[in-house]
Amino acid sequence: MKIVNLNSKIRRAFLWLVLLVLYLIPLKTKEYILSIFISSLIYTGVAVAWDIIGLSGKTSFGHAAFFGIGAYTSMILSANGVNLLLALIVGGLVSAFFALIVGIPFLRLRGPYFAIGTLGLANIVYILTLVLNKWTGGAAGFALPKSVFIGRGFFFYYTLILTIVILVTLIHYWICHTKLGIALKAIHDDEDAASSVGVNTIFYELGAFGISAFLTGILGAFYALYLTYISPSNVFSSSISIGAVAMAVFGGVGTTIGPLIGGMFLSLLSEILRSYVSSNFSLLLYGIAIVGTMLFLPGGLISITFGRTSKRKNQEGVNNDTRV
Amino acid sequence: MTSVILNGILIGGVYALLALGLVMIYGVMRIVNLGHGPLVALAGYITFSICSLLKVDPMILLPLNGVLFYGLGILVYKTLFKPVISKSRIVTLILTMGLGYIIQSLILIVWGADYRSILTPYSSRSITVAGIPVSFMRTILFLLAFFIIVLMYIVLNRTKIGKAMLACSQNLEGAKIVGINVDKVFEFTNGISFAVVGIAGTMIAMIIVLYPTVGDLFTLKSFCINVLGGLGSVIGIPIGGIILGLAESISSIFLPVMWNNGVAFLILVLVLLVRPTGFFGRPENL
Repeated sequence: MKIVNLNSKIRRAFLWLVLLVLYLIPLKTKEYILSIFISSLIYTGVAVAWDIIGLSGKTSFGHAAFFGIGAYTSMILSANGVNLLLALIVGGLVSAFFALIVGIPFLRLRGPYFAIGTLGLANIVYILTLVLNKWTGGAAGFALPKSVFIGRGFFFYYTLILTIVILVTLIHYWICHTKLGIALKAIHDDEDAASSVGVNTIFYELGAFGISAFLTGILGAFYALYLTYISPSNVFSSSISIGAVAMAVFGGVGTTIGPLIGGMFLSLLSEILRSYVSSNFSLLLYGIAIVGTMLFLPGGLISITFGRTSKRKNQEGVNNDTRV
Repeated sequence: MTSVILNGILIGGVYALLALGLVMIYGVMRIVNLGHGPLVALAGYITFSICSLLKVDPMILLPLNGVLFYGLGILVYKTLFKPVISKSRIVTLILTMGLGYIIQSLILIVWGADYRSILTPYSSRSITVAGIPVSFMRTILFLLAFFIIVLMYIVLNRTKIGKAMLACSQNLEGAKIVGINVDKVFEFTNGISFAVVGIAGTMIAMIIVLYPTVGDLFTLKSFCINVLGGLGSVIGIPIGGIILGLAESISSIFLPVMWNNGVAFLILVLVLLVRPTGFFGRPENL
């Protein structure tokens, strides 16, 4: 008992230390390095947000839709003089609203059908942004007027995105430890069984889908306001949808720490590849990470470190343990 | 208008062949191959390279790509699909998606992001069928696609390995009990399905413009056809293909060009929502 307490104390102290270091990074880093950190934090956040609906066993291949909706909403609002924080939150809310509407019919679909449905959904939203070029600027994209973002440096953006990602992680952790998380786990194990013992499956799935889309939308909104320029091929690109899946799967689906570690590792590596080699290699990296993980370590990286303590693995090899 | 409808039907035949590779892998092995579209694009790019390097007619590449992709199918089965085939469908789904993106990024690295199209002396020729002008190329490809689909029916229903494939798709445990070497059947299925994908990719490259992410479009179109016909149903494939071909060509009259690719997605999403098992599929809990 004593050892456990000591362990958790050390762990807690370690976490605080990591947080402190993360917040202090910009003081000693070049702006260029900082920009790499900012990009990878965005993708990490999407991976953790993706895993919220991933908890229920539904594999969404269309999270770029929510990312893009958040990005465009915040862009349009900011161009009309709405302040940054409000634009971020409204971006998330519009995304969540969209998710709730499409979620009612889509969440009835299962397994491959849900995956393919969301893939199609992302493509429809992509085409819609091209068609609605009056508001979105069409294929040419949308650039923020300079007066809006003047005076904000890398330090500001870094601190903001770090805080957002920490909040996303905390929300994921909190969900894992509430009734919602337990319900999602039950749905993951067997949707029919969960439903027959009285779990309101569609209600919980819709909740998770909405929260996941809300957080993804906020991250998309941040991405837009940080880059100050977005185009449909940019925010709806498969590297967002696929990146999220790759990172979560690589780290370990269904855990809070898994997508976080997988996200940090893969997105940093892909950002480095993007800046020093070519952006083509980052997609290759995601592909190899996905295939390699599925072949050799279906539980993700997390199953190495927690392999001995978590006995509850189902036959899919997906780690059921939601403890950090 | 009638010419548009006829051209729609003709391209529908090629679409049907496109979807056939996907449905056979799913029907027999229960693997949803999300790497399908990028494989089609890969076949197209190989055709483009060989045609422009050696100045040969793309038709010659139909059997060549078939053989090449048969080998690729065996390789992919042995290295990637075999280890995960007994695991859950989500694992295979994510794995094939990763495979697709590996292929897509390799296309980007090797061929670059430029648009590519294959031109032949007869690309723009048209012939008249019963007083209606139709594209010569599409007519030839339709007949070829139809021929290959019929051939696959014969293989499935008349040959020993085809019957074994059907047995595996109907009841895997039962097939094992009566002594079918399931591993060999899966290997053959994957090989032949990839061969069909290679041939379909070569065909479609003669009709449309290639770009690296075009594979996503093929994946979604094939799925659209499959859900129209019912996932796992070979009979529904030609019908689904022709419905999609018709829907695309008719909508091109009324809607702006941008919507053309959206039609497949709209049909896909609508069918999934209304009748998730398609119109010819077996009711099955996925």
